[in-house]
Amino acid sequence: MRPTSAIELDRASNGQLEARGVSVRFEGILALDTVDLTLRPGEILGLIGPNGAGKTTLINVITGFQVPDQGRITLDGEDITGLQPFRISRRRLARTFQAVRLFCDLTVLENAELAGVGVGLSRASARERAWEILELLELADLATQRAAELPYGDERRVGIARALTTLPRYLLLDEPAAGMNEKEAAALSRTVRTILQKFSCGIMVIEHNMMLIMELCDRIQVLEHGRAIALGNPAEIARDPAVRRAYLGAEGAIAGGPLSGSSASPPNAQAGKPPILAIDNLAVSYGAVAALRGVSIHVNEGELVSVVGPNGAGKSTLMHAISGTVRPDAGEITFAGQSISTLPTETRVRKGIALVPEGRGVFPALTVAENLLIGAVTRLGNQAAVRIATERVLDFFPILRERQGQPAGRLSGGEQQQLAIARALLSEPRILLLDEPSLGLAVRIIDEVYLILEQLNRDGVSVLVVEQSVMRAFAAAQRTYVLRNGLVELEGRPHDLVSSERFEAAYFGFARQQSPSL
Amino acid sequence: MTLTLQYAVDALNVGGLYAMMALGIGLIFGIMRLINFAHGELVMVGGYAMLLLVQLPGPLVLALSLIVVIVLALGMERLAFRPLREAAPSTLLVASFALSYFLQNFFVLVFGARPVPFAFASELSTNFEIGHIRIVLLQVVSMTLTILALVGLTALLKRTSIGVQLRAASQDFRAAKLCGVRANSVIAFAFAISGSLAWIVSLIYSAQIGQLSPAMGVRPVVIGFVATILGGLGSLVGAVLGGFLVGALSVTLEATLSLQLRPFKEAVLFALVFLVLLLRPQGLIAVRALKERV
Repeated sequence: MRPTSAIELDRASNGQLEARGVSVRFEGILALDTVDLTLRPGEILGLIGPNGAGKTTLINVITGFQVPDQGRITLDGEDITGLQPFRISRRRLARTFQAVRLFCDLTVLENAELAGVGVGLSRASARERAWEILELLELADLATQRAAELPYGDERRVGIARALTTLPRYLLLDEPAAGMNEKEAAALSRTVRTILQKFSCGIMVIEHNMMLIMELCDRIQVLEHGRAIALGNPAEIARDPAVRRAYLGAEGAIAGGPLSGSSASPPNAQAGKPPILAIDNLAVSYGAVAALRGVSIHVNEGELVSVVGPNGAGKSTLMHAISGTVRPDAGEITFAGQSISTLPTETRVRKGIALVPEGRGVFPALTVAENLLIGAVTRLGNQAAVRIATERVLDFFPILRERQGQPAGRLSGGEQQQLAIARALLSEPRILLLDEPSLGLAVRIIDEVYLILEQLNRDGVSVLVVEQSVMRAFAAAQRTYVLRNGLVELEGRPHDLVSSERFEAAYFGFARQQSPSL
Repeated sequence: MTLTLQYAVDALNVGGLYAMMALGIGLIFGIMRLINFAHGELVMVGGYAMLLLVQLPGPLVLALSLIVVIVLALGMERLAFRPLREAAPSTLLVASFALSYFLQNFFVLVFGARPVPFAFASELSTNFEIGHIRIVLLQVVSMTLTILALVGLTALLKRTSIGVQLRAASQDFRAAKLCGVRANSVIAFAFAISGSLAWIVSLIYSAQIGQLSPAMGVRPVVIGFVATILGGLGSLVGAVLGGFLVGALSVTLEATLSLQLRPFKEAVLFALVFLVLLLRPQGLIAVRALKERV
């Protein structure tokens, strides 16, 4: 072994990074449940799973940002459980963050250099090493630019360069391609391969971009609800029914046969009339990250429409743009024939757009009755009408009647979801928007929530629901859009979509039959 | 025994004042993540308003000075804080400092920096005794006012629609807007209440110290702020608890410290607060919404 440069150190590495039986509990919820994970030098391991699976928590445990309640982390045989993050990075385990977290007033070179100083190098040797890594990642041209001025894709790659200056034997990348377009993602993929070749380190990638994961990884581990449900090569993972279920939900709800009840033909949709909600070419970005890149969808009066897509597709952003809690860069939102793009949120609610936000957004310290009172705030002038509407809602959700005096924070997840829907209904919406109503709920409860939605829809309320749990959203909806990476990939009747090749291609970015071609 | 009772009465008095300061600050923080250091100037302006109006009949003085303070509070929100509503909390904080200094110096310009002797309703300093406890009438009045203010505020927040909206908005402003709660009215309402609390403080405080000065609001605002932190930023119950706790600590120190140490009472007080926060950094009552996800 002849070290030809500062960055080619001991390639011959034995040992591995290991997590054994790791459990983490947040306020009673098991975020990780006895998870095992092994990362060997020289391989790329993908860590995937739907939103809330525990991926970032696992990285946090490994890198010392989160102390596990149970389990051990060993690095080449040495127990590093519970060590301070900096001690772990000095053992040459590096990570990047979901949000990049560059030092924005420093130059690109200084950013990369600092990480070397952080693990104990002299300034000069850190700088030398930083240069080499910037050259390796084709970032040398940007060396003197301030980090704050970088375009988004470069920013993420500098984040990786910074992690590399510590000469990691193990490198953990937390959603490196989040917010990237396909070209940027492809460049990233090349970068990761270069790193593997040059450093022979073990690389673990958390990603929602399935195409990238499938193309890049040697092995993939799948988490769902804090448990490891599958481990294998990309072909095996793409075939695994448990993985499919974790992402898309149980297929039984829709497979074969005509769709339940109202779904086959929208009974309320009135052909020929202008849609109640029309979104035209909507673009939203957060700083340099584009979340929606020109999305056009519409909902007809009386229709139940679902928008499905993987995490990071832009679903919640879409909902917030419609409600006015994020400002679009471009595009037009029309409600009942009127442009509402510039109206504040509360005015949109008063016009008849009610959103049940992701995570439900109930006021935990307020009682159920008080939460409902807030829901009726748009109709304060008319006490009698509010009382009647409240009674009707309580008839619809009998459990809420029993719990009226309790703080909403004490309700179960399913009850909170009912409360959130009930509250939204009290503003007498003409369209009800729901952001991931099934998140964090048991299957039986999810079915209940959707039965409620279908019934509301039959009563004439237009509904737009975004979901990760595709199959459930499909069964209820009359029309579906598939959103991926900020774009509408597909639109159609759920029944037609579910059986089509095009759906999986649109959702995952690859089709089931094509993927195991590695 | 009587001495202990005397201290308890004092502690409640001082604590009540701090509690109202803390509530006024905490209310605004809870709803817009603004720590309003200009809250002290509301107290100050209340005092000067009474001074200027003192020729009028008593009830009119009270009513008009209350209106002045509320209008000032609403003006602060409208002119200084509303344009910054989307800004970072630190920007809001700096803006509140600027406002505070501006008002103080404006009053220096108009009234001079020197303290003006003034006590509204000076007959309040009459003493009387119950058993062996000596009670100043002012203490009775201020305790009554404090209790009325706390009870009234509780009723307002629990019973009225705008009160419930305020509580909802301070738990989750976005969710409140998504229910159709009007941000501007709720925030204006919070500032009006905060102003009213400052006015009560200014009534009691100016009577206690017997003078007015442009900088008179600084001490109460600092102690009120400490009480808010101690109670748990964002929690109204915490603010009240924190206020009474700081009051009790302060009176206990006054009673127990030796004569030589007494000038350092505040140093010891803040050191104790420091200790409490070391043991319980989230304050007495932790507010969940403030936790950040890494």
